[in-house]
Amino acid sequence: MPAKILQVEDLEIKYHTKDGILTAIRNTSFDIHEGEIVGVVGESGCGKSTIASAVMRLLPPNGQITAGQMLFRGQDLVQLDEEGLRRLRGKDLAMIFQDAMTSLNPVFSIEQQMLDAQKAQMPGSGRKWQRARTERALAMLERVGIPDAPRQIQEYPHQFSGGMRQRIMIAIALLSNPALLVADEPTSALDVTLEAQILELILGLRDELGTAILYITHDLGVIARICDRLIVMYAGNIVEAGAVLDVFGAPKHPYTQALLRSHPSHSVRADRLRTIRGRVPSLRDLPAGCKFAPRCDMARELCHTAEPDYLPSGDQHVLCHAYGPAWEAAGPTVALPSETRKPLAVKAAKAALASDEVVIKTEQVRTHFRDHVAFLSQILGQRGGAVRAVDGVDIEICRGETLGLVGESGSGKTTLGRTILRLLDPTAGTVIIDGQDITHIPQTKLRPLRARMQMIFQDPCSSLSPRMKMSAILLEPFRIHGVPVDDPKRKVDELLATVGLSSEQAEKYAHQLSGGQARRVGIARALALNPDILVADEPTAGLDVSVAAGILNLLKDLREELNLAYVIITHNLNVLGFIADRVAVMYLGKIVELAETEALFTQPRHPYTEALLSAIPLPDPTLRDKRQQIILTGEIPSARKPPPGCPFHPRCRYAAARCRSDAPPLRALNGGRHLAACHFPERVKAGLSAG
Amino acid sequence: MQYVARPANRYQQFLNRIPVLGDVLRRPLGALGFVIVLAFIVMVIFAPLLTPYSYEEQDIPSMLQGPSQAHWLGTDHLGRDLWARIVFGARIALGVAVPAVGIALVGGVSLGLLAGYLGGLVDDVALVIFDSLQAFPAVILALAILALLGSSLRNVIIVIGLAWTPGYARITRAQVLSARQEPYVEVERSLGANQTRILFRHILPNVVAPLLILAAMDLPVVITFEAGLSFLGLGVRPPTPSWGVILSDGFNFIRHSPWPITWAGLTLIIVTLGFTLFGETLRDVLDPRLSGSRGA
Repeated sequence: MPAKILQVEDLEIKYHTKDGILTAIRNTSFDIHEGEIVGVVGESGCGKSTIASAVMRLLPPNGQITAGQMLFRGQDLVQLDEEGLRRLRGKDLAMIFQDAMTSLNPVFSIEQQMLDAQKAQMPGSGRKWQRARTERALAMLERVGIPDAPRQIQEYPHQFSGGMRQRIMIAIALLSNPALLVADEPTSALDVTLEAQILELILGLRDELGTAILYITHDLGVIARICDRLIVMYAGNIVEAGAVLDVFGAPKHPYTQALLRSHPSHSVRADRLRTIRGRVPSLRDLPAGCKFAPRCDMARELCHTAEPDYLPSGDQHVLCHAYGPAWEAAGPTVALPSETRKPLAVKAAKAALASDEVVIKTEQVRTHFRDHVAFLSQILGQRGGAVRAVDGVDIEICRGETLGLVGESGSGKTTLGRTILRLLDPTAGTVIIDGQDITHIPQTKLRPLRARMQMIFQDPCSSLSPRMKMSAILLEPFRIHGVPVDDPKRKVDELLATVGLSSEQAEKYAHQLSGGQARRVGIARALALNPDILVADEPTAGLDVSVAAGILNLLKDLREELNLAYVIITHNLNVLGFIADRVAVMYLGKIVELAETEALFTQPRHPYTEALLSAIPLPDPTLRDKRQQIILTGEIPSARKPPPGCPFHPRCRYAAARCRSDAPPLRALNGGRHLAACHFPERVKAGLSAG
Repeated sequence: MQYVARPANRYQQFLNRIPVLGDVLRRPLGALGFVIVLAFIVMVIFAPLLTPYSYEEQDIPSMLQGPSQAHWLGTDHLGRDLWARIVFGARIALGVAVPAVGIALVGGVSLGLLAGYLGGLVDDVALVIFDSLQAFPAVILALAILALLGSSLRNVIIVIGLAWTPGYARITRAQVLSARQEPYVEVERSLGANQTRILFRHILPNVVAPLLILAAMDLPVVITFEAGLSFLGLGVRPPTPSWGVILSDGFNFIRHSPWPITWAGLTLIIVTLGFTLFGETLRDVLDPRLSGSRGA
């Protein structure tokens, strides 16, 4: 076994806040060996990022390491002064962050930032040194996959896309050839295809440079793909640690088990996703005993009163009474309050409606965003270009049906969702809702219709007005449409109950809710007027897996109870595997494949779908070598100037000469239910189950 | 850096119960500002009770005296009691500042809402007007208009209100433009709300807080500005006791007695300081980015 590069022992971190001193990390110990990737996983608020900042000694000013040591090659990082830290950071220790835009300085070119980063290691000032530094920077940029590096290095951060910026961040971090790289959710903000590229890059660099990596993520799929060992954090404690294969193969701690179960990919076409009851406790009022006990189904009396100790079982460490000597005498299992939502009485009138009735229909819808050209320039004959966000889409959705729209950022899926509801006016084509053409009807006529078609917006918190209580927000739809409400308080409670929230939430403001609760309020508001159509934009983005699972279960239940037509917009195919009846895959404003979910997952007919499926991070490390990975090269081109011929051909591994000139139409395969826009659909083989 | 959690005493608990002011008073500078503002308001309300003299009662034999038991702050060149003039001057200061800022606030917010929400040509025209108004230094603008209308208390108020309107309109417009992009505004659209409802129920409340803070911080500026106009003889006419008039009179007799100018100047400084400290603390407390946390 290689030497230990970092040994963290009995680490304790406290934050000084206006509510007093809070302990964020308690007796936490772990090691990282040379050349090893150690993943840290857990829900938000469990202390993952605190660990990352602590290792870099970059805790915010109110955070303090109050006990323990962190030996980096035998040197205790906790005792080091600023000067000593400065010498280590950017040389032996490096960090990459989630948001590559704000972590790169916008006023310096990439070259300046990369030369700066090498000052510590190659401090010479002569021209020879200068050239050496530049060459190293260029070599590193090429290594991380920045095309045309000599030219690109002159550019500024805003001129790069998110994925490219993350590559540059990695290049800068690795310039000094650090022994330990701390990565804090570096791919969380990226599309799955870009995430796959970056993960591949990180793995390759590790193999090449032997860098040890501490990888923080909330995604078990990512851990399964790249990590050697993992640490599961819960409420400031490590609850389980061990080799990835061991932990995924036989998770011991109930929390690890629950996290794995709630991952949607395990439940393609399952009835319900497993969730974890409750939420991560606030550091302000941690429960006595085991911190996880209030959410744990197997918790016994002992768990609620005494804190467990670490129990090594082989190489795997678990913080749980169930594996300890006292388990037999731990008392009876404590029954926890049930969290199940009361199902709504199915509205007979609605349920009786035929389900092959088409409620949403678009015909060759196009939504283009024209550039703003100043009045004077227009006179001078300047014509602006246009972003073809949606470029000729035909879809039909029946009552009670769920259509999933999937694609990378920039594929036009959100624009299509908004166009269907006419929150955006289409440039061409028609949108028909319930047989009525709404493409050109004036806003005043459209307003009454809006009661029947609702949208759930992407950002749960900022879509709730910050100055209104939840009760006012939920009554807003009735006030807008002049619907009298006899007993407002009861109505609010009813709506909250529909989405599984208690009536206490009525008196709260948006910032007092968690992401999952805010999302539920958004859903309740959308349901207030009994709509027929619901468009949900990324309903699970930014939520922890177990919370996301709860939302998806809720959406599924509601559809069955209310017979709604859903459009679910997401970049996450896992979500659609669970909830959608049919899936439309979008690329550059066009639908490239449209099929029933099962058919699409098992037998994709477009190379883009195939690549998306292969990029899904699955929480199963044994698939790592078996699964055929199709890493899409490059990024989605600009919708301002789509490539000629098939828009996907520059990134397609099957592309032939014909693809460069002829755009393939969306045509029916397999007897009509499966549509794909590809010249060679028979070449596409790998589905998800092909693993 | 160390934060020590202190047990909350009675005063702290009392502060906890007052929504915004409590947070202002918790900060030492905010508390100081508040005390000064409060003293100023007491002066305005109870002016006749605070002095036995009238502000215009002349007593030529005892002119230009220093502070004494009879005249606490001394007398001016006509033998009028300085304390009385300063106390009644407070009425003028507030009587000009509040309606002037009020005009600016109401006018600015209306214009800003219109420009920001309607956009297009309305916005372009409004911006040109704001730009032209703001291109003049306020004093020059005031000089021009007062020369045209004649100087009176009413006209001073109008002029100041006019000069301050574009500032409020600009801020309102910018706030409206950014609030329009907020997801919760789009939600309202998707729910089918009409423009008026969105504008008044959802955009206006989120726009008002920063404007009120601006108004609180503009009060001292306007008080000083009015004193300046009066000093130049364009504002309030003697014998009405504006602080600017006291300064101006005192200036003419500075060789004989430093007191009038000292007291008027000092009052102006203290009141300005008080309002500024109060306004700044209020801004920190109500910072628009944190304003949602008031419900906590």
